[in-house]
Amino acid sequence: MRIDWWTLALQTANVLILIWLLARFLFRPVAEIVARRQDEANKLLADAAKVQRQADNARAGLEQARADIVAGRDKLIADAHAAAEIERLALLARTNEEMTRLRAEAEAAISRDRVAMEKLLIDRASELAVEIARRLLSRGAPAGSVDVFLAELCQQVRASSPQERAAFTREGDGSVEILTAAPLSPEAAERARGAIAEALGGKPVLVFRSDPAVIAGIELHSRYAVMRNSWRNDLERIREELNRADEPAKPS
Amino acid sequence: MIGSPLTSKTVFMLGPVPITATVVVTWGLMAALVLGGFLATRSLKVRPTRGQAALELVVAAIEGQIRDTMGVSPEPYLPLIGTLFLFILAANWSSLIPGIEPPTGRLETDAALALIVFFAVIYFGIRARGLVGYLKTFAEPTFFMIPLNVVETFTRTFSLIVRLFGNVMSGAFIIAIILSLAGLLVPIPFMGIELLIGAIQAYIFTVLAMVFIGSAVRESGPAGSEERTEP
Repeated sequence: MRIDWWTLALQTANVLILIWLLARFLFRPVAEIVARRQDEANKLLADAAKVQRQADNARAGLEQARADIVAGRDKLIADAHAAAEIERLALLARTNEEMTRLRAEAEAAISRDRVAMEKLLIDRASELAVEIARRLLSRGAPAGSVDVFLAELCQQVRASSPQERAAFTREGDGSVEILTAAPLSPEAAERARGAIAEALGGKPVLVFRSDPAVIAGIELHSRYAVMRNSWRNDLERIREELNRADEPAKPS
Repeated sequence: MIGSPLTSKTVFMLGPVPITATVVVTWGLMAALVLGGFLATRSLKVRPTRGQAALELVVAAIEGQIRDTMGVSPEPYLPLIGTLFLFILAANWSSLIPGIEPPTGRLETDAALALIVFFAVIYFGIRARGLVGYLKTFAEPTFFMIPLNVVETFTRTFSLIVRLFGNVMSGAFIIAIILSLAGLLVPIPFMGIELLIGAIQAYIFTVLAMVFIGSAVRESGPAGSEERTEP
């Protein structure tokens, strides 16, 4: 066996050169492209992760905004409910107050109407009663009873004050009418003139006049004063008393 | 037709240097490999074509083999190991081309490859562990193993030469003998077997080179405990 040393050396050099050449033209480019792909894949993954994070952040923001909107809506609804409740209560209070006021006014008006109606009825009743009494008394009034009325009238005149009596007796003030329900007989008229003149004092001018409205009794009328003792007067006083008696019944 | 496996036929003289047919075929293979590599990597893209994907698959397979066998990161060793595998495979399969003598069927080529592996083991061992650290590997597992380890360093290199030379040369010889005896079509099954043997021998040579380099660069302990990078 013989070794060709030149061939050995050349083959060694050839393989070494081939190692260098393949490293230069095959292995290194492939390794670089693989590394570049790896880098791009890593970059792509990093970008995807970044986009994922951004999407997550955006989604979290949207969810937060939605939660805020829901919370705001709930708050608005609650506020609206509260305002509506307050308004309802206020309206109810105003309505109650108005109703109370209206009811009070209605009750007051009803009471006033009732009182007025009662007063009217009483007045009518009084007038009716007085009218009935007047008619009844005018039918059966005794003519001779004027002496009783005359005595009481004279007593009333004497009990009055001098100023009141002077209103009948002053000169220049005209005559004093002696008013009766029916004309008096001459004797009765003379008795009446004497009694009245004596009761009034002085020298009054006495004139007799009859008026059925007097019903019964006798009345004195001058320009400034009136003094009565007649059933008409009594009935008037009774009616006034009846009306006054009704006053305390008015509601406060 | 192949001549004596132990002699090289000089094709021409380059000054005092005889250029044998083995060297010429090697140059042709080199040109083919480099040109193929250049063309294949001329327009690499991030989005690979089908051809680029196949090329990357081959490179990735070699890297994976380095990682699995040596237990270290494959980048520093890829050019050497990859070139050894591709060159031996191309050289072995070149025997199928009529009139071509496979360079690996010559003792000088196998010796050149084994020498490269021999010095690569020393280079990578010193680079990885330092001169003292590399020399200490000869005292493993005990001091008394130094003579045996030194002898082993040379014998395993010699075994690389002989194994590759014997297999390739014998295969080429068998095909030549059968071709001369039986005619044109009979050697075809043997040529198929020769393809398989050529691939296996390329793989074995490369794996043994990885094992030798790996034993020099790797610290004592479980294989792959250091420098392993996960794919």
